Amino acid sequence: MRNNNPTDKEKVTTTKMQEKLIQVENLQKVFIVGGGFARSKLLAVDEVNFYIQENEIFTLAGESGCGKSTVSKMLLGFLEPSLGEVYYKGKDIVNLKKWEEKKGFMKEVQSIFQNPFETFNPLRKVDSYLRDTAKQYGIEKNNGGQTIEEALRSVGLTISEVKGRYPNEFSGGQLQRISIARALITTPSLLVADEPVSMVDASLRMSIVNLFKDLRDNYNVSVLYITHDLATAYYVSDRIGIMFRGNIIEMGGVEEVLMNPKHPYTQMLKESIPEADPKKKWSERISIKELETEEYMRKGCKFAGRCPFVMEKCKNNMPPELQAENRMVRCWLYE
Amino acid sequence: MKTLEVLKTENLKSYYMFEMQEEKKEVKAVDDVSIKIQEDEIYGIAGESGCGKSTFLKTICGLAEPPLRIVGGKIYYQVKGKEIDIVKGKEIDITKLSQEEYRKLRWEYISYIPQGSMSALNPIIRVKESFKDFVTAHKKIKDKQKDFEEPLRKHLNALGLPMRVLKSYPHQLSGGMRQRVTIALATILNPRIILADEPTTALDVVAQRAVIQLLKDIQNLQKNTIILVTHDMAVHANIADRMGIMYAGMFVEEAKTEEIFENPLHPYTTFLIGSLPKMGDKSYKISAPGSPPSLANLPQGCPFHPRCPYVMDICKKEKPELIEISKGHKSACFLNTKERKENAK
Amino acid sequence: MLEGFKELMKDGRFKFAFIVICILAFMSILSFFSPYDPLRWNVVPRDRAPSWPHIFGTTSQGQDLFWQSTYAIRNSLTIALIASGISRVIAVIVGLVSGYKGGRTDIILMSINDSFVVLPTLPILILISSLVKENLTLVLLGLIMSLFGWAWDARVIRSQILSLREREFTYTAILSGTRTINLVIKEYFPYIIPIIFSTLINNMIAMIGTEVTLSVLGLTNVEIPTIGTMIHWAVSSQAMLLGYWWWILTPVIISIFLFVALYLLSTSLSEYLDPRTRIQRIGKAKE
Repeated sequence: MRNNNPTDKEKVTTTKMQEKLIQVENLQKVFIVGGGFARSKLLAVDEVNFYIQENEIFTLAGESGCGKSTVSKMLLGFLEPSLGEVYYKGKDIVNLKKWEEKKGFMKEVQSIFQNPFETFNPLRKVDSYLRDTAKQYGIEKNNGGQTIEEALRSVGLTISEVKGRYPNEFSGGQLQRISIARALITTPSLLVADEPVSMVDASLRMSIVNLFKDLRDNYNVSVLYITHDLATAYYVSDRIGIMFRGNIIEMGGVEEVLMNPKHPYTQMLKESIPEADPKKKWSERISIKELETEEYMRKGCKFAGRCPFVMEKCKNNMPPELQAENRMVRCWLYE
Repeated sequence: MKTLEVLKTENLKSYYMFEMQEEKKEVKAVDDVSIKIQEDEIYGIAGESGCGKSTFLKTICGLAEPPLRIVGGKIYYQVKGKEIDIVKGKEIDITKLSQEEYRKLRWEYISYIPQGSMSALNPIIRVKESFKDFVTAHKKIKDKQKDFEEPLRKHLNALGLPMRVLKSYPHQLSGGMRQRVTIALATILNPRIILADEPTTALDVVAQRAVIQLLKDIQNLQKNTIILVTHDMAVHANIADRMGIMYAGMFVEEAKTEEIFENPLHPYTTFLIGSLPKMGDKSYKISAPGSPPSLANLPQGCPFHPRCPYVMDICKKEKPELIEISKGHKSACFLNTKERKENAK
Repeated sequence: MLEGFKELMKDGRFKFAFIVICILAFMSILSFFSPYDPLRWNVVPRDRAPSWPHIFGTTSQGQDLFWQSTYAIRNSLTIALIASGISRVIAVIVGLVSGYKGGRTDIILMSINDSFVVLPTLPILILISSLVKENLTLVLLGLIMSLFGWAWDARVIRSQILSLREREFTYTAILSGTRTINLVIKEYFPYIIPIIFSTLINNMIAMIGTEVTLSVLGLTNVEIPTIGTMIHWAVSSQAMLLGYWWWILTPVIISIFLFVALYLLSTSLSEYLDPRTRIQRIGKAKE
């Protein structure tokens, strides 16, 4: 599984050499909320375009409820998009109907989830999932044992620590690692990690996030990292897309987007990250006056209600994907 | 000078007692804690999951229910100039005050916001009704306008919450908004002490910032005390005046926030601070090695010694006490006492 | 299994219920060794109070009450088991399919389900029974009653499945390559089994009660000895008026013991099997 290629790090920056693993085009998801006579449409995901390459960590970041989890569910095939396409290595994976095709896709694209205590059935032993994965993806019996061993080792655990135990015997951090190990058994090309560290103690997050770096550098696995924690996003990603109320409003290299944000929302996000330094407290106040659903229903730019630079145009027209200083920005300021 | 103590514990011990298959198990969640909290300050308690900080909060506001029991020590409140000991000997004596008095005391004096309290609002009634239920349970309302509506409006305004939340149902609000509403609810009666257990966990940075801002505003307005429990050191850095670091049921360090970050004395504190990512810094970070001990099975001596890079022989045998090393800075580590002795020579 | 049983025996309720049911089961087995044919009359002296060798006394039809009871218990239990067993199977299948598939399948199945829920059980059974009275074998009666026992519980199972379907471990199982049927069995059954057990026992209680009601009203084949028919004969032969207390008390006391035992079995078992308490027991041996 491990390819000891010390030059892989250099490959990360040469985009021409990287194949596109995932291509998302014009993705949209509409939910119908309320019932009876009070129904309304909620545009949870709107015109989302992005791609993920080999050997890279791409982050989709944003507040809770901005649509990032919905995007990941559609990508994995757990939710049907209302509009748009998702391609994996050029193949359309939205309309896969046959189980064999779906399984073939899942072999290459695996996922871990936010709540490590819910990831496994509390009434089942944790290693049964590891064995299930090995068996059901046709990894040979003896080899299967070895593959499981290797997968656990790559996350810093051994089979003896894990064998025969139930989920409630482990800590959140350990369960999350076991979850990653399970995902690695099929040697996937892409790991979708949906808020993997938000329920883990702040002081232990780095150990999980370091794993993602290791996967990218030494195991040929790309990671789609979904989070609202910009500090770890900065630490671990190559490229990042910032989502707000269903749209990707800024996207590019993580250094550019987070160190020099162009969209007013990204600027506000960056400022809101608490620093572990008592001398650097927030100087300005924020004011959140609108309810979330009201922002979603806005015509035009959804951030217009809070934006310090708002113009008339913003209230009526959604800005298209514009280019500014080698990143994409959806903001009329950069026309 | 802020020297008025508003809450004090002395050798407080609070354990979970279990009996499973004729085996008795004691989980020492709060193990001999003596802490003084002052008026008009924000006191932060930091530590990993499972170190006992949530249990400590529950204990000091009298919410310790079996299997959690106060096994020893005392808790003092300062109410209207009088000290009330709410623990009598080895049993929780809630009946020392009558039920009525105790209930009044609870929400007017000390207010508790539990973890995950975003779901604490009654889901089938509008937010305004929740407020009304709460206020009427503790105060007589003669004139609806004057006694309820006006103060409510003022309170929400002062906290920057839009009036529209009153007409909404909880599920119509985002997680962050619900958390802020819950905090508004818990503070509408102007309590002197507010206990907040992980108020920002599971919130994104923007909502988190709003919540922290809200807590600061409340403290500024009402000049009361907030005891804030969270594992997120960055949150403490932004809001806490003083901090206590908890590990395995005991306080291992206590000082002003700036002191903790600039000059941490206990090795565990150093780990907590060093494991946090900083924007603009891509250098490799590591977490604290190993994992915290099970509170049912604490190691002998200092509970941190199995993970400590500076462990000495004495650490394995004796449990260090929380003593003052320099002014206002306490630490429970033999390393510090050794240094102090050497410096004194 | 053995440790589970030992655990359960510590619960006083289970202990009592288990002992009583063992005794009753033993009595039903004894029925195969009965010296008297249950369908024949006047095989023993009539209207005798309890004494040796007729330890429960005899009836006005000249039947030994003890041996009659052995048949009665056996038959009542058989009817109840058939009825509840079949209705469990239907309930589980309908609940599982409806809950997991959702969509139109769910709507159709639940419409059928609700139609059965609103059926008034007793009046319809009375109607059916009065039509087929003589041909009403045990099995047939069990089958008919089972049609009334599945609908409510199917909904219960369906709601459990609905909530399980949204939990994250469902997705973990799918990602592990587990297909639908396997997933439902491996992941959901541990949660469904307690429901099946407790509803089974409750259903049995209801079925026995229904059978007793029908028999007392004379609507079943009263030749076949069951708890209900024994009461029927005792009542219609004026046992109480004539002072033959042993005749009416025997089936009544047996049925009380049976109901109480089944009820206690149901509560203690479902508490033991409840996933929430099971989770607490798991792994404590490791501490």
